[in-house]
Amino acid sequence: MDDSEIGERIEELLRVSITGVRDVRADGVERVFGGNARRAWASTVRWTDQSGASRSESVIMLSRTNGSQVDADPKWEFGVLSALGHSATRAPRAFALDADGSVVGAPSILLERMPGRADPLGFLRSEDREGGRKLTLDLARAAAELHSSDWEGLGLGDILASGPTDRSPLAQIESWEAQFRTSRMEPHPALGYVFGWLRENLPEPTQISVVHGDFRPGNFLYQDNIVIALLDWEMAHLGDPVEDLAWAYRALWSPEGFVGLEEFVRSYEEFGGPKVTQHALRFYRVFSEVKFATISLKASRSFADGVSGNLRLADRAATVTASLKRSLNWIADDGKGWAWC
Amino acid sequence: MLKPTTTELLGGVRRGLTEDVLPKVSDGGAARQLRAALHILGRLERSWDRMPAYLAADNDDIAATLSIALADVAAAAAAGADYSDLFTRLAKATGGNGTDTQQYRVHDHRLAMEMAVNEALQGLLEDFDHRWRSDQSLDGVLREQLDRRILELYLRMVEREAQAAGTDDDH
Repeated sequence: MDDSEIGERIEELLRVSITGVRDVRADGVERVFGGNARRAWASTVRWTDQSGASRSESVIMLSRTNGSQVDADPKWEFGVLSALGHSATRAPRAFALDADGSVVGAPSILLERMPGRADPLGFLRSEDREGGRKLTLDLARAAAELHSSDWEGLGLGDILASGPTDRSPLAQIESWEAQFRTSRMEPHPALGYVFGWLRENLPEPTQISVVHGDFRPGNFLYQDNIVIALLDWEMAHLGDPVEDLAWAYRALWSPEGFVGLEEFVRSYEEFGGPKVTQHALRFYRVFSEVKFATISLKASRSFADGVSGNLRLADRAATVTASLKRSLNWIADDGKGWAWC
Repeated sequence: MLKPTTTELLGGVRRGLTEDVLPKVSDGGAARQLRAALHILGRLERSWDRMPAYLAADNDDIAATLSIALADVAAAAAAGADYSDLFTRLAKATGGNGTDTQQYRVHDHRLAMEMAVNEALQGLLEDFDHRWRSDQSLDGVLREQLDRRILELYLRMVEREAQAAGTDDDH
């Protein structure tokens, strides 16, 4: 896909996606960072809609690249964002989907480009302690808003349910363990052991919610210490909302320097999020580590097999050890005072 | 002895690229690729020479722990539970019999052998761990002992691996 053609592809994608649209024009197309798994372009798009009204939107188009380390389908992301557009969840509007890549050249979605920045280091290394604290607590509020959304009323059951929702923790483990087994380049028996521990320590979800699946600094836009929008919904699913809280506090990107996990969870509950049990939090902190380890193994495998040339993926397997150390130590600790660390 | 040493060479290349090349790379994608390569070079600089000793220690520890655990399980298991194939695999793995060392693409035969033994022992450990946990004929006390012994082995393995890979301070 040639960058010079992107404007035309965006215009064509809007023409085939929005009924009655005409005079579509994409200006100011520029390449922006889209993460390890996607390429991204920003643009300002103008068109005339069915009623004859002129529209102008700042958009971002995200296109999948080969060798993605996560199993994701842009149809999910588009469906979730389309449905959440009718809720209080902070998320960009979705304009168009090219599920099979027939228009853009790779599976793509066209979303509203919102203000703010996603830079995780700018947030996590900020010397503005009060600002960082305010933003972290607003992240707890954003999580509570998402997890208390009426997913059935929004029609997300049809889009996201891939099985009975009451088995959601087990379904997640089965999915990630299957990915681990097909991606590993050596047996990694310790990782297999942790998957076994998870199976034997399944929590009973307080409620089933829309789970973002990659809820962390770097995947939300912020401005003036407020969360503007949650991004990267590729791993969204129905499940136990505690999964998102544990993932947000993984050591690599944890905002615990501003707000400790215990206070974050209590604030989340006060903002209307479902009750969080110690058992579930412990389970999902261990789960987060094996999920991260599996993503890392998939990334390294993708590079080793020549599917991706992204050097950021090449040595990701070396990060598995740190994830395993943490999860094995939490298991060995047997629940004694570990949960909030 | 060859000087500069491998560590010195890796460090020199990394510094040269960081100080002289990276600032001149204006394309964002190319700069990200270069930074990723520099990160890998840094890890190799910290760790490249640790692999032989790490593998030898890891192999000794896994083999010793498995020998004891297998003996305990075999002695306690009911008549129907047969662990003899795992004893055979342990002997074969530690003896290096029938291993394909070409796949590792290293010149040092002893290092290639340690790699092959490690991979075989990891597979055996995984199978043993799965097998005894499914064996309902083992009593609760032994199960608890085995669980603790295997967990402690995994903790030692990941600790060694982190040191060997130069990632012991990583998140």
